[in-house]
Amino acid sequence: MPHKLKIESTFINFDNESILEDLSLNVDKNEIVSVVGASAAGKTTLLRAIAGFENIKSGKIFLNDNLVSSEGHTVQPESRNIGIIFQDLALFPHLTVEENIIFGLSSNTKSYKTKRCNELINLLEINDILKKYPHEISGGQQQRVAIARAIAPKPEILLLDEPFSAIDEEFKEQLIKDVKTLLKKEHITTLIVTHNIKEAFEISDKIAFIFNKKIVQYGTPYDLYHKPTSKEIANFFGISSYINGKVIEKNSIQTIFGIFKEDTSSFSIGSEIDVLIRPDDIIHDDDSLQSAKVVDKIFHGSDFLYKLSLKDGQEVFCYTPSHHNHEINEIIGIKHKIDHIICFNK
Amino acid sequence: MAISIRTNINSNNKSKLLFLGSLFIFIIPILIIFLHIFVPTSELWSHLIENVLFLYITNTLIIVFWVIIFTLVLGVSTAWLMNMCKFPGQKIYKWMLMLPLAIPAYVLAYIYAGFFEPSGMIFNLFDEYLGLGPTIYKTVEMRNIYGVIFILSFALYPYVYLLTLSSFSEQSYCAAEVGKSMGLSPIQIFTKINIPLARPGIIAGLSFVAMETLSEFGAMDYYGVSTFTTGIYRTWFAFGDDTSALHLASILLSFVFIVLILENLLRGKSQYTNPSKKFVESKKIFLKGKNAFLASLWCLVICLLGFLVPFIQLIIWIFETYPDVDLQYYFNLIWSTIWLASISAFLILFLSLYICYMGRSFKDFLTKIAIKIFTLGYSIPGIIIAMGVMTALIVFDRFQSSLFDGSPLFYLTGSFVGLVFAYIVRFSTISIKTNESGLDKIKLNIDNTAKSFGLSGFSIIKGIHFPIMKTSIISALILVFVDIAKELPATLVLRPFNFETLATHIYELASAESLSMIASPALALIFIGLIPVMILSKKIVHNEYATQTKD
Repeated sequence: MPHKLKIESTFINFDNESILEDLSLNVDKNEIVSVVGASAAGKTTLLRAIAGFENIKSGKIFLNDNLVSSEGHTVQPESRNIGIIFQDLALFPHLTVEENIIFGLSSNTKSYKTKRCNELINLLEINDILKKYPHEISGGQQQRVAIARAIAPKPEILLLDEPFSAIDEEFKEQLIKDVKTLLKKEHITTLIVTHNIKEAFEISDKIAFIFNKKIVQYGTPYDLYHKPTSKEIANFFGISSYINGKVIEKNSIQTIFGIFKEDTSSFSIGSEIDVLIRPDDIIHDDDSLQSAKVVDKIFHGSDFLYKLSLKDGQEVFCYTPSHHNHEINEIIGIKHKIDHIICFNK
Repeated sequence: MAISIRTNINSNNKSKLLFLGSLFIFIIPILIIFLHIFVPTSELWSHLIENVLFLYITNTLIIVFWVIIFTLVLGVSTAWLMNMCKFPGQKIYKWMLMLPLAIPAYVLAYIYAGFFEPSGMIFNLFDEYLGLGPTIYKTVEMRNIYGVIFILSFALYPYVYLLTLSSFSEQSYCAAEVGKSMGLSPIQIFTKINIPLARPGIIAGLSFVAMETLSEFGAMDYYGVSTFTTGIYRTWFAFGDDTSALHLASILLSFVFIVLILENLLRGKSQYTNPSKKFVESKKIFLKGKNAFLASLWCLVICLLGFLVPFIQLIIWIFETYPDVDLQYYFNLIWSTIWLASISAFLILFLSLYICYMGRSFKDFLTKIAIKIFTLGYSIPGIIIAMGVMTALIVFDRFQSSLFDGSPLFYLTGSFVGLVFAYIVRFSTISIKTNESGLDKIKLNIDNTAKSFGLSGFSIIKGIHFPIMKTSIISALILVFVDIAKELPATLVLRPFNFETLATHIYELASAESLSMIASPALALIFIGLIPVMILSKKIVHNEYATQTKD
């Protein structure tokens, strides 16, 4: 099956400054893919290049197997059949919600417009604001209208630039859930640019992580969290601590928590390595024989994030339900729950 | 579907070059004047330096200084009363205080001059009841520098009033409450918080007043006060010495630049806009008894002197002169004014939309500076622009004659081309600023979104931009139309032979000392001038509504 979006070793410059280098990415039909990276990593530039607002320096971008961008050749955005939602939403201020939603359907019949509009407003639950103007509705509603407007014409691909950044936390989760359901129901291939890991985890089928002008890992959200391929990725996608390990024999690593079996082909026997420990790898257990000292703690409501000092002074993090309220410097029992380990060079 | 592909960057450069070239044509008149600082002087020049230049400079500076002081007092005090206090009749005063905007300063000057003459109402009042008409006529003399200061203060204070009012109303009351919590008294809050916060608005208003005062020609001319503008006019037309006139103009132009630089310096770098999104409307001070009476009286006196009394005088004159008015001529006059002002306003609109769009697409230094220089036009006195244009046209016509063996194809000098050209140089700024603020509302992502729906080029402008910008476009048209209808010196100098507008006709009637006859054309001009005042007052009422519903 051809890829819906295919980017082949593409270079993008902005004012003679290199923004993205040798970047490749494939997105399949109906997939929701997030492009994640620190701010100014070039995520938005990539999105704008896919939409046709930026020229590329070299490489190729295909939409539906049609070449849309290459060196010296850029099919204009208006000829690409894309849907795009910008961070500022860019709702047309002079049109009502309804007129905004059916804006992209101008070549369709009136009855189709009404039908399509009704479908979308029911799915997004914005039935009661149809006659209002964008400035008269809340931020979350504006977001829903922008999404309805973008997908009304059934675009080949939907591009979203930091779509949920302006939404209050309390409404965000529900909105993301609703949008995901809608995108799946409508079979819309989607590319989202975001720096918010939580959003990316919740909505995406796959995540592409940009670091140093390149995509350094592309995989499922689960893999990016649990099987990061570099320390940068590990640190970006979650709280991480590293403990000392030593390759004692082939596929055998010794740590303070014992000996673990893992592929060690990239390390030589006897080498010292760093082992990634996530806060959910360590469990607080009063009955455990192993103990650690509380160094620091942050209250999250439902849980505490403890920073613990192990016997030999190495530090790890640990999530604990918040009724386990321990004082700093208190010694508490812990055990590890590590089913596989991730190792990095020191 | 037709697929458009972008490959050519050259077309961008071409359209930028075309844009900068066309802007340059309109900057030529300003450049001509400016460069005359360096042109060698004529014989008359030494005479001017010895006898009148000092007078021009001192008179101009004295007038500017006192007009600034008076407009500051009138404008800020009324704005403060309107925004921070509550007293009976305040709502009516709020818009009545704007009304003097509708009367051009020269018309106000003619009316006040006529006041104490046998046709005027003060003369008649004293004459009829006390028999003191001639005494009044002899003792009250308007036609001097004090008269000019009085006229300009009342004609121009509304600019300070309006800009200060909007500065005050943008201040969140929270700032005042912080002051209160630190133990400041109401007067300290006014001097330490309200006034400093409103400073950019007040300074913008005052610099506008200074520029209008430097530009004023009609009032000075009629009151016989020698200033730069009247000096330039006399040197050019009475002495026929264009080099010296241009030289004077270049000095006046430097004064204008000094005001512009001072304004920029005084405004400083600090941001004065309300930094928090939250806005709390001021709690008003309720004035009662004596205070309410004094506040009301103060506003009433200003309204009376600035608008009501002159207006009543015009109405009285209308009744007196009605039988002598040639209606046919009068209607022709209105028609030619409307015709000239609307054609110019539309041309200016198209040009300024072009400039706004170019400014939106090209963000480079050269484009920015070119637009900046072009928009200086509004601060340059009409008489200077008229001379710059005239000089440019003469040069052009001579060049044409040399091309076609002594007889040019057409004379630009004395044609409408020159007049409209001067209007473009002087009044495009208003249109550009108005449309810019409209275009600012349309973020680039709105265009990009429209493109993602398959729209491009003109269909985006027609379908998205025009509906959003409609209000700005209409207000730009109206503002420019009214300013052109009121413009005296440029029209006077550049109009084709025998062509009259309301403004030039009023000037000629006044010069012929038939002051009561100015009533009908002046009223027509005032009614035209009332249109933007109405729009403004509506805006101010609307703003008030918006802030009330915000919480």
